[in-house]
Amino acid sequence: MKEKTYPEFNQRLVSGQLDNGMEVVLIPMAFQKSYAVLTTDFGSIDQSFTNSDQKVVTLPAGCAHFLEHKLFEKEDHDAFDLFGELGADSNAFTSYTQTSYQFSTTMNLHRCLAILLDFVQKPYFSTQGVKKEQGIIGQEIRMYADSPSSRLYTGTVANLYPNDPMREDIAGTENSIEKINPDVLYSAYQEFYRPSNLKLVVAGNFDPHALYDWLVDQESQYSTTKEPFPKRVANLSDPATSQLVDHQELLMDVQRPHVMMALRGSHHVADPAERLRYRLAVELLLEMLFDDTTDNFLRLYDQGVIDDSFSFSFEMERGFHFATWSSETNQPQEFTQAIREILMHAQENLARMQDQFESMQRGAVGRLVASLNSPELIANRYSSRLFGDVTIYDELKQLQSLTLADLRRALDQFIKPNLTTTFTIMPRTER
Amino acid sequence: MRYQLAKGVNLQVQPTQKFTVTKLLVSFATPQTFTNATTRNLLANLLVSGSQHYPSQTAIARRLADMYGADLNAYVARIGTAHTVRFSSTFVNDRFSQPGMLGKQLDFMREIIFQPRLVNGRFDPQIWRVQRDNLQAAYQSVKDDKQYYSAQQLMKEYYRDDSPMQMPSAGTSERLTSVDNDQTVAAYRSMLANDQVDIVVIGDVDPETVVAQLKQWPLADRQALAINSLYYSQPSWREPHQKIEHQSVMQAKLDLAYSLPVYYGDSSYDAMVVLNSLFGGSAYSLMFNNIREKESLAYYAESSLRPLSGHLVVETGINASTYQRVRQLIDEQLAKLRHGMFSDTQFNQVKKNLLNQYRGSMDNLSAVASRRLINQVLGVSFKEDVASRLAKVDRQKIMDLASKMSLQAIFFLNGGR
Repeated sequence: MKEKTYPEFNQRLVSGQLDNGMEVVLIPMAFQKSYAVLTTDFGSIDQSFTNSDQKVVTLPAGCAHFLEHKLFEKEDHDAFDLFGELGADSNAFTSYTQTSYQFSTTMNLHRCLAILLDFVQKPYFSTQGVKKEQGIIGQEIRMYADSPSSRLYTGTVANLYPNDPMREDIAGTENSIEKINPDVLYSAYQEFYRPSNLKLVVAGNFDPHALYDWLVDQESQYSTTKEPFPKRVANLSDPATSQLVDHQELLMDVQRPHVMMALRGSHHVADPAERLRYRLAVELLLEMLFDDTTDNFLRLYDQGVIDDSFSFSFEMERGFHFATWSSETNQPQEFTQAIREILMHAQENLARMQDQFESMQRGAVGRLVASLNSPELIANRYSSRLFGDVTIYDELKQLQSLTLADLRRALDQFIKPNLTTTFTIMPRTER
Repeated sequence: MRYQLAKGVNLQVQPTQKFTVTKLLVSFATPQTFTNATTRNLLANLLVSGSQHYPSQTAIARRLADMYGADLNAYVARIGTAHTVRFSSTFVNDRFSQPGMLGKQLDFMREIIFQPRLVNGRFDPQIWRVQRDNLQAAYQSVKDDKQYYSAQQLMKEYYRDDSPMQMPSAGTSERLTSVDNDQTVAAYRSMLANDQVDIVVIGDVDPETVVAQLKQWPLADRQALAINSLYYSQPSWREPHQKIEHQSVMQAKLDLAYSLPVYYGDSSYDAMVVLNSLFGGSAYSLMFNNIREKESLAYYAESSLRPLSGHLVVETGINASTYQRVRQLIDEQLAKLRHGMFSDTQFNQVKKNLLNQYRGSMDNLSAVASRRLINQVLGVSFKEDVASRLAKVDRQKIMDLASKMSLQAIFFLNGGR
């Protein structure tokens, strides 16, 4: 166990690794609420692994998400209700690379944590439970299938990673989840829910040292020995990347075209701290080129190429990173052309933007400081192991120390013109 | 701390160091009509798209970035029958930025509200046209969000034809086509001169400084809203109004509206909140357990309250072929409430959950600010804390209230490709 302090934010935190390999981070805050999130590095793209018999097991698409839904249900009760009886709210979510189980509460923190550790570490899967969940998740899949913004995003990601599990929706399809049964869930569970693959972050109202000691004791009833990390077959089959799908179009019942352009990053950063710095540099440079303070934004806005629906984002998870730009627009071709041109001239423009850089950096720091008011956000932001043991407070320090030169270097590392794709959803015209 | 800056201009300031940021919320309120919602939505968008000293939204965004990533936006919302234009600003406290942030933010907010970008007495025509077009596009996009669209259609069925509540607070596409620049200016002048103004400031501030600076704002005396007129009620429909629409969607939407004549601040209000949580307002509810968990007919099947207009709304996303079964199940859950067929465990779970949500919301600055604004406008204050109010809600009250609920409107978006 070690304690870190951040005097400028009057903040301390306690972290460590338990004997069984589980990572723990405890962040005390003077709030009513406490929030805890227990994360396994197991997401929708982890579809193949080598099991203890040295056999390669392949899971149906949507397995991680399905398991997330089912882990709450036990033989004679539902963990969700146990939280409810204590007055806590619980939930869970699955991404491409992680599954997180969380609760927030203003009372009974220890008892809630005990339930969280217990239900995640004691699986129970039944045929009947699986059957029932297929209907619920089937409706979830249909709901997203009717949402243009969801289709735009998943379609774009499929274009970027056409040969990998990322081409499939996190929830899978109604067909793929039909293949799920208790055996499938148990095999995935045994591989990916070992304590060595788990990380617990708690932010809120507690004494961190006392809570740490309590956790050590509590967790010892499940396992005290460290098992090896899961043996995934690969994060992505095609890390160097060559074959993106250039463009796809979908017809839907939309009022006007939706367009998304995306750029796939191929720069690999091994060191977690350097990886964070790279991410922050790319995020800031995208803001300098595209956010609503830029001449680019104003020009495209005035031309009607974009409107308030314009957005861009940068996502980095285990094994991949990419940027997206999207808008609803009647000029989808002009939109992608404009984004491409801005990227093409980015390096020469950035060179002239020292003044803007300082203002943008100040703005980014301020927004991050503003987010320190949410235990959920603080805990979720570094709930996976991707960036090592950093927290939002380390991120703030890194952000403050970035220079324009860092951004220009990151730009060269990130932007490769042949790694882009576009996806459009066009209105279905009545015939 | 509460102040009256002029007649009809109210301020409350809550100093606290709990958060790293401070929040300013300024609301202009007037009775909603069929016409003003649309114009005022356009107006809100215009005012944050340029001002005298910041001629474009880019200039405004740059100023905000420079003030440590401060946030300023304008939007419309309804409080009962009152239509509000709201300006909201969130900014980092001095100890994380530089001295004098509060003063700078108040000045900037004043510029945005009182120094619009007018050219010859009209809004800058270029900005006006772009914002009108963007709002029109935003109205169109609503139709792409089937859940939201269905809820809107349900409201059309529920409200009486002659009620301005028919009109969404954001306005409509049809109305916008007949709004011109002069009308927008007139709406602006009327807002400044006639609307009730409510200001809420929460954060690391000195109340006297806030008051001194806000007293400089050009806000003259005006008529305050009549509080009783803010609560909406209408006679019940004899038969529920129904509408079915076909679209080529994967998932059908079945939405229902029930009259429930209890209002925010009433003695039965807390019971109504618990009732909603038991019916479909939480994941411990009868609808969640029976429609989703037991019969796996839906991913979402939920209810929510409209406590200023006396009704409750149910929203579900289902397969079209299960319409009858889901209707039947919703009826059954309501019958269970009427007959007290819910367990003590469930009842207590729901209450604890509501208490937890309430306490947790005290950590959320935006939630605290908007609750304070709404209470200020409605003149509502609760004498007891939430825990003891919830403790007083008994099973009989839930049964009595459930018996008063009457189905008033049904909207079904039929799909099932």
